Amino acid sequence: MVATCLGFSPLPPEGHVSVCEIDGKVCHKPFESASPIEFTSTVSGYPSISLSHDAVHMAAGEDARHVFLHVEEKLLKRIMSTWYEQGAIEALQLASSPSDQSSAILQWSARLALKTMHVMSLAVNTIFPTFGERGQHTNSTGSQAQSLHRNPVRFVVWHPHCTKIAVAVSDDSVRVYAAATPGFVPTLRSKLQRSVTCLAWRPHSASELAVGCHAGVLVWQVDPKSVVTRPSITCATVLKRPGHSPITSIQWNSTGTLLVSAASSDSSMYIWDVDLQESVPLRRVGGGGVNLLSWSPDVHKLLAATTSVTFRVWNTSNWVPERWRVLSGYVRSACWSPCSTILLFTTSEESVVYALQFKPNCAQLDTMFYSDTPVSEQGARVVINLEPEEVGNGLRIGGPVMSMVWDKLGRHLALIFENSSLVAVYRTDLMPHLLITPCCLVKGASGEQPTAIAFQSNFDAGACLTIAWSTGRIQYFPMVYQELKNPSQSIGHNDSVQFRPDHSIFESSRIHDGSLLQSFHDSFLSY
Amino acid sequence: MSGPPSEVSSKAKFAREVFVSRILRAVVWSIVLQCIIAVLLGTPLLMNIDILHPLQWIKNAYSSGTWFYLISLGVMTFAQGVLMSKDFLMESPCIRTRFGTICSAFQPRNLVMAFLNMVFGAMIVSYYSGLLGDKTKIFTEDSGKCLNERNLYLIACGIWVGLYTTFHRQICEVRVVMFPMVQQLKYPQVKLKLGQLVMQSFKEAVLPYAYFCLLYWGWGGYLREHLSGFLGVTTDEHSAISVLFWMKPFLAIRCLLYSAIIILSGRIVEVLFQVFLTERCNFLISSTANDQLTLNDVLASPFPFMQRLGYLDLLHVAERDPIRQAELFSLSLPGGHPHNWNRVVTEVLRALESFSSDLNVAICDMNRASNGPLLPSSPVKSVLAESRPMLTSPMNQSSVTSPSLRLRNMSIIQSSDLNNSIAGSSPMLYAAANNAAPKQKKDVDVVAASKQQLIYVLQWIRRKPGINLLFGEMEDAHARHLLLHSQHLSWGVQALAHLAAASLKRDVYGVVQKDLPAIIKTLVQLKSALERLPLHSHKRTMRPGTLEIRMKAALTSAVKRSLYILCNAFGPYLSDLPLSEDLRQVLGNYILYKEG
Repeated sequence: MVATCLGFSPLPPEGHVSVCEIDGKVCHKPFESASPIEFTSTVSGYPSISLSHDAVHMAAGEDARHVFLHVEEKLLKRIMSTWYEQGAIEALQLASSPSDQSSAILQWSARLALKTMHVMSLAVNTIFPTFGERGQHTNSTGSQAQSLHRNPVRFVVWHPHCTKIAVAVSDDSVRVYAAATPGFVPTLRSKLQRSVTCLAWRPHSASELAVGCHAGVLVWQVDPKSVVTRPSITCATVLKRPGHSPITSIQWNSTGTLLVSAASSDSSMYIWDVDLQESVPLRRVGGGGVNLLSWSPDVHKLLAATTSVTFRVWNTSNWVPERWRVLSGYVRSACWSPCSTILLFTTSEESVVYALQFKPNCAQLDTMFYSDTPVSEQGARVVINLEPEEVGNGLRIGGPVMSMVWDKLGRHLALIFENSSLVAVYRTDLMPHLLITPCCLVKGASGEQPTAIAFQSNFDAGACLTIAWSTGRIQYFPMVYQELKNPSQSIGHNDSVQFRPDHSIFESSRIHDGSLLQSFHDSFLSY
Repeated sequence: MSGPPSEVSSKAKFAREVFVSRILRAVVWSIVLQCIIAVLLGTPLLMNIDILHPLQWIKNAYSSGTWFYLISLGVMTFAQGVLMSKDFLMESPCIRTRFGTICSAFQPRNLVMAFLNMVFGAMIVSYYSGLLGDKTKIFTEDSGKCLNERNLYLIACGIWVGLYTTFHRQICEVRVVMFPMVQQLKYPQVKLKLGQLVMQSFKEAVLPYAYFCLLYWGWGGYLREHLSGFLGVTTDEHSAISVLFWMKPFLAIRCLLYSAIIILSGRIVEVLFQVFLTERCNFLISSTANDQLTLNDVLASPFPFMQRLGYLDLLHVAERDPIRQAELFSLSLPGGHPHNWNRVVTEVLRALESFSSDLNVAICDMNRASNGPLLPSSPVKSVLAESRPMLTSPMNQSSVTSPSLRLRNMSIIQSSDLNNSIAGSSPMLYAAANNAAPKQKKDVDVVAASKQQLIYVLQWIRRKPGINLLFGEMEDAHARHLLLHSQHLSWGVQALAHLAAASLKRDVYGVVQKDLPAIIKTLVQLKSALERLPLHSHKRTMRPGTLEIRMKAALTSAVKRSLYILCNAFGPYLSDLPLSEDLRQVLGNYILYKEG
């Protein structure tokens, strides 16, 4: 059964925003008084983050045009200034766009020139896949926070074990907010750290945060005992290789031993031993630069999507890849199920979510029955059809997906779209087979667009979706299932609370939906 | 736990077989690869290509000279491989002085290796010059028997580069087998490293060639004259090299190319050895027959190489192999004892404790050296100091009268055998302590006293600046040596942590629980020893530090990560474990994620 964009719970009335979900019911509040604390105390100690444009200093090298008032000019002058400031391609694009002042001949010739250049670049890129992708402007194609340079928040990532969140801000700084130290926000900034695209906390470490940027990867040591708010660059290890930039994706394996980095202009991805500061490039012919990486939770597989239709799933035992192709575009976002047997991914062109199922490893075979049929040979199947639909109040969801995240227990899948101001949350069930059903839609304030999403890893009362909105506001959207039955788990949630899937997944399923009890239990066993 | 002698010998034999088979495969592939490179380089690039006669290329490339070269290359590579295998099998000893390092380079094995490389260098020059259409005979027969200086120059360059690379590797390079961070198939590994080696070889060829130019400029005339005098021939005037011979670009490029090929050939053998020897091996957890080699046997093997393979496999079991994990946690039949787990944990903990204690000794040595010398500045003063009555105990020496000792690192004091260690390291204090002995012993100890005097004199001489550089002990040599050979320990630490964490789900008999306090204690001790080790990289971001410093960072990080894994898994139950208060305090930071 394929899920669609229909069947979500009703949207909040005008002027209200979605605040949280308690036992399957979405709670709404007026924007001015929107806080989940009225409904649940699970996020009571969380840092309040709001990074407005005024609070964020513009990054060096950032396009400064938006700070000036727009002035009407003649077309020729505009084309000249565009050519002077941004280059020939942008000038041709301006000339080819229909406007009152431009003549048909000018538009036609500009379009012809653009098409010729496009064909030439295609030919060159076929021979040299990474030729045309060098340069800072390609950051946007690879990054999940693409085309969002002007938004204050580019990326958010939760620490895997404690309540600590790192936020990549558009001024190329990274701010670290911790629930344990509400007033103390270390800001990581350096001249080397330009065009930050991705962040990754090291598992089984309190302090190490990898930052992917234009120059390479900076692994910062954010000492929790330190009182320094602006750590110097000596607290960071810089990992870079010639030709391996700009970094578009970084990922630690779940044991925290290896870091993998990808750059859209480099067809090699690098596996790093950060402590030894050594790296191994992994490369296969075809596909172009590597755009996206995702390591399976059991560390057995690594997804490496390229900037073309090709993507690979590497077997990390012997580092041999399986090669796959999408129909069009490139893989833009992907996430693994907790059991590492299902890979969900979306592409840049299609409005669907694909699922790719792999044979479980021996760790799971001893706890469940499984057919010997090689599922991966059957190909990827569509599990969510995201054709745009109107969901009320003139709002639409659907279309190409910008970012997709799956919570650590495999119960919720959240998506944001290129052309929608809503966050779609689906409920997922892994046993006996993958089942996806619409859950709820999260709506921000008027004019707000979601720019980045992340699930908190150590939230044991359900799932906590964190949404960065285009205004710089960061919202926590807890989905709590057991608070009424067991309030002790939601009160006093702090750093010392440990992630214990054996408790949370079982009890949350019991309270949330009794019919799903058995499947929850099975999914835990399989995990 | 060792079995009967026949069983032990069969297991040792099996371990040796594993090593020898890998060495042989590495050598054979080295020969094959060297031959392929020789043919590939020789055929299209260096040959005098006549476009109109393509068949002539093949004829030239595979002439009798080529076959002779390839056979000689194979023999040389085999000999090199046999000589190098010892470096991989055994751990190099800790050398504390620079003089010792130089001496170690002149061991008979290294001298044989140097000779082989010199012959190899001359052979490469001869072969590739032949492909280029030159005859590299030292003598020309055109106008009687004459010495061809140009060819002498090329051959001498090849011999020099062979000699230089041998001793450079022995003296300047760190000789330690590092296992790769990811276990790829052999072909991608070799392909990747080969690409890197080609560029690296050309870079490395510049310096020895520059040295050779200088040497030839200074001593080339002597070589030429002595050789022609010795052989009773004249020098060919046409082939004489001018004073500014290194300005001739073609000659310089050719020499650099030959040098790079010589260096590349040596590196290829090393790379193939590393690729074959560091391949992960699956060992049995428990054996059905007595002569089968199990993981426990490998961990306790006397060969460091086999130990490393064992630790690598143990980490693989802990991280990725639940079936063998279950076997590790199982009980023996008959008897019902957790022998598998017990032997593994005992061996790993023993290795970690041994490393920690060795590291503590090394730290004491380093601190003692950095806190200023306790020796007098001259032998005369030492005699005076010996007669001073006030110096009756080591603690008096560390009073406020000595400014250098006021800055003493307190970590030395932590050592339980403080007095012994100070007395043992300081002959003067040792002598002073001996003064407290009864007077009648003095007559008997005249010889000993004169020996002490001799030691003072030697130490005084050794402390002179130039001599100290060569003969003085490097205080951090021991610590660096320990760290260089610690890669397997970081695997052991992580393996224990992962196994302990996995035991919550898979250890149905609870065999791991009893060892948890010991594991935690060992890890915390190791962490504190590493933190006290005064080896730091000063400019961390600019360039990576030395391998020892990076190994220290890797081991420290592995220990911290392991403690986090244990605290994640056992956080709620740590209060039930019999741990000391200090350990609980340390673990408290890990539970709250406060340890950076």
